[in-house]
Amino acid sequence: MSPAPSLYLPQPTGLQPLHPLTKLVLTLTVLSGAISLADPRYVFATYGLILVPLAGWSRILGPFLRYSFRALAPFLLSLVIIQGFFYPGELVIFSLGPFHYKAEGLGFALLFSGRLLVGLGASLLLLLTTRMDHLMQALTQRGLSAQIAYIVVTTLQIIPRFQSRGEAIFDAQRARGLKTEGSLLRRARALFFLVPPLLFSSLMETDARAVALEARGFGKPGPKTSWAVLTDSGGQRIVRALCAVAALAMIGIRLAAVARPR
Amino acid sequence: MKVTVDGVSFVYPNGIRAVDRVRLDVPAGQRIGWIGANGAGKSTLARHLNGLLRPQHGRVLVGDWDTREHPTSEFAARVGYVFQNPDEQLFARTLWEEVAFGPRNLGRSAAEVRIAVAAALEPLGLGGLATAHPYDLRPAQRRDLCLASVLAMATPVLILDEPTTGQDSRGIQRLTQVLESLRELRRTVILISHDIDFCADQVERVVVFAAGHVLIDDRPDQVFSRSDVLEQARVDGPQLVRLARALELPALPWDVEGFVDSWAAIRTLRTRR
Repeated sequence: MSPAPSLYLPQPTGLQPLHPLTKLVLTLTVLSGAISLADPRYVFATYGLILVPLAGWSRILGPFLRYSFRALAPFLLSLVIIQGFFYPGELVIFSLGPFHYKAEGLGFALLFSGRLLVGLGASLLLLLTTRMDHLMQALTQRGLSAQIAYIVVTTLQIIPRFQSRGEAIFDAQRARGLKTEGSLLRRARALFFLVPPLLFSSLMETDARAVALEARGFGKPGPKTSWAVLTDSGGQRIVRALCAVAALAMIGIRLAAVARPR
Repeated sequence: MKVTVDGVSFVYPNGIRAVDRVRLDVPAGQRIGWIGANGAGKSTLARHLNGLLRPQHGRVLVGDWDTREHPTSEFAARVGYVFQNPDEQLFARTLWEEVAFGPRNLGRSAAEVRIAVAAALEPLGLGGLATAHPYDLRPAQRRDLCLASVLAMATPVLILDEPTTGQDSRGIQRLTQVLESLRELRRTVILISHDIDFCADQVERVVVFAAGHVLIDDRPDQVFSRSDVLEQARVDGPQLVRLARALELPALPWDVEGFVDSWAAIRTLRTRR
């Protein structure tokens, strides 16, 4: 029996027992912080000083770091190389023939990578500590339509779902002799055999699921019965309000800085 | 080709112990059925046979190869694996290309590939559809196509994971014929199935799994007469066995012939009385 396609790791401590909305608001606040900060050092500090300790507190540090760096490594590498050479700037660090590697490009690549890292880390923290059905329930209880809540949740589930299905497809192709180990070219070639079945099976599932949901009354208007009891507290409500204020303030400051004449 | 499972254990990252110290020898040419409830460890163990999973304890040998020492792409020449979900493997634009994928990966010559593809498509009723797109097939035909794509590799060991799912009676008939031809070729076949009646008809040995352990490993008549073990494994015996038990027949049959014999014996006995 293989594990279910979800990243959620149940733990009795850390972020896991908190109300799903608290975790969602925390994620959005960290994301707005990453977008607002213009210095790569602060962006990386957000990851190292906020997200990593939260992952440690929630006892998910291992998978959190593993997923973060696995997903980011290819982007980081290509950003640092491409932006370093082709971003406009004057501070040349070194030259390769006619190409000049510039400090401005490196700075931009680090800022962009940092934002990606924080965005990914914040989303991972939410996915690793929150059951998606609970998040959906929390959103619909706050008045969001069931359809929109469903779209939000399925979007968040795309990563683990694709990961799980991708592994199954790779297994099937490897069992027929496809070589997926070795050089970068060989690995890239293997992707060709992954994408068509991944897309096809996802489309089939989406279609089948839409029909099945409708046939079971998903689109029926009116309140739905909730099974799980989501515990909330006054403290969490205050934290959510503070986070919302902080997120708005950070975005406001950033917009003001952009709009200010130089 | 002989398969040896030597004290294999495997625990998933989420802590589920799927396989626990399993020992099993499958001689060359044997047809063996693996049965058990969902989560009993059948598919997890099967994935060890071609190196998709590596044992955390123990070892798996296929012939003289240890699965820890060769990648799955090399094991593909020895162990063919037909997965449950056909939509998780089909990628080519025609049935022909799909079936040719495996033998080409194994480095067979162009002539050998052509022969293998035709020989694999024909018995499954797909010979006339070689240029069709796999996604245009019906679900049961896509399942047949997956089987053909593995048959074309002519592996000495073949694992069939739930091959009867979604098949109509004709599909099951075709599958039976394919299994018969594999028996003539002395191929080792491991059949993982919840379809106990099909399994009872097709195999000469049955292994019952529960919670990652082997509960019993014996001839089908011996296994299916052990209602206590089947109950422990949360598996229903073949319908004939259940019927015979309900009729209180003296001997528990596991095929139609056995049932008829047993029924005839008890009728004779009752007539004499």
